[in-house]
Amino acid sequence: VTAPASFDNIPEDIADTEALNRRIHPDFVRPDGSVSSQAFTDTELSVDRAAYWDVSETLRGYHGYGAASIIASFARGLQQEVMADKLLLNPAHALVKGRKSKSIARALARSAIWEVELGGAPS
Amino acid sequence: MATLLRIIISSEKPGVPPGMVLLEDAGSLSSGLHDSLARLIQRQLGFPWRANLRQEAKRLARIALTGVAKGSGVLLYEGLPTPDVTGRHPSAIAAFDLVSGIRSYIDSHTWPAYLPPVVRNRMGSAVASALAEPDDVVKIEIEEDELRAECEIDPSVKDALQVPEAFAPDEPVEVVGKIVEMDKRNLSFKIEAASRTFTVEVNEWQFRKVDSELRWERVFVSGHPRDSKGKTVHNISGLRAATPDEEDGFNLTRELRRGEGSEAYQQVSTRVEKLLALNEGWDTYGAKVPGRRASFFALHFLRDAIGVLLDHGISVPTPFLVPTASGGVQLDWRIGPRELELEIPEKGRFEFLAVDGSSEVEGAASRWTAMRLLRWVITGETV
Repeated sequence: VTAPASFDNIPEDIADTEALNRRIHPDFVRPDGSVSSQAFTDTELSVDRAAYWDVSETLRGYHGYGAASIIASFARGLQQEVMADKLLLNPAHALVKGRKSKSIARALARSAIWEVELGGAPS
Repeated sequence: MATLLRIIISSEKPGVPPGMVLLEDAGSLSSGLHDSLARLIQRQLGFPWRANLRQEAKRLARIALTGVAKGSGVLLYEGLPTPDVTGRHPSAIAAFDLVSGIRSYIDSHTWPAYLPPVVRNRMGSAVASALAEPDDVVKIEIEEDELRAECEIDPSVKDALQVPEAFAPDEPVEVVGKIVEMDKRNLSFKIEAASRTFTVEVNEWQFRKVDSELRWERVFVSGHPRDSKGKTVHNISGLRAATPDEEDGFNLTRELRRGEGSEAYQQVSTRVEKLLALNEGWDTYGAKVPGRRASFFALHFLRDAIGVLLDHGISVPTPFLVPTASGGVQLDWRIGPRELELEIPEKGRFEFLAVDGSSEVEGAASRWTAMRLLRWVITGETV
């Protein structure tokens, strides 16, 4: 369980090593359990910083979904800007900004690691 | 990179000096060759054989007559660059199918599924005037970079090419076309479809419906052929206004719906229904609901592609259909080292990512390229 998150104790800078969690809708998941590139196509891809926001929070209220993480440095290596985007109710919110070609979306999907598989979130 | 295509037709006739071809023969051979290739391309695009020849198919059949060789009666043709095609020339693929289909008949006396009567008949007519004598032969050679193929058409092969298509009375057919004549006394009406006229025999109730709702309209009719030529359709089971998406033409229902019996189509069809039930913002990040038009276009494209590939003995594995956040859908295949993501952002548009081991290509695709990519991901054949 990560430390309690607040505006004050979450740094603006996102370290290269930070894991970024993204909710995954069941329709993005292939029969073999891998995640489709279509889960990672948003120009402003919304993610939660795993070090400051427990994955159970990311999935709260989203029964049946899963959560997968990507690493900040990997996204940056794909010419994406990874930046904090604190929200009132989610100070650990961040964005992976940049145009995502199909190749980039596929690379992000392939790098994603399941943190909580589909339906694995606490109800 | 586009390939270089050359087609050579040799037709030597007694009494015609070397290096010359009679205009009537050259005209007939050239137009027959073009029509045959365009119709084969139309099929490769996933459209029915007997429907009107589409502009898209004609546009892809860009062949120029470049000369008559000195010393014999040889017509030389070359493929011209075709817009939106970066792989093999569509006419090359069609020409190799034409030649291999004829060779297959010469070897086995059976016509392959990929060379149907509508193409054979056209090619038969094209060579007829050049094959007046029993010893006359028309030779067709195809060259595409390092690939070569050839066949010889003699009068017996020409006769086989010209055998008209015969329809079985129990074979369901579908006609789409415009009503041009009504005959109340005989309870029938005539439809013009793809440059042919068909008579449709109906019952009294159906005639009243046509008279009151469909008179002079484009209609869809399903029934059975009364004769082997298929000029009259009776036992009508379906009769309604044609939709804008339905092409004029006369088709066998089993050919049109061939892909629908496949596992791939049925699974994707079920999934389309499921995806259409999603709500706005379904991915929790503001995704749009998959559009009906894009979803059904993808499904029908898949059905048509399955039908085309079955003509060549290739079965299509079930793709993973995934909704896109922008309201489209994407078909994914992973076969060995090859992967294809074929996205349909909206009806009629394709975007793709093709992965082969460590190499990747992506971009917008025409329907032709989408079909070729699908064949590539399944077989590894050059696009």
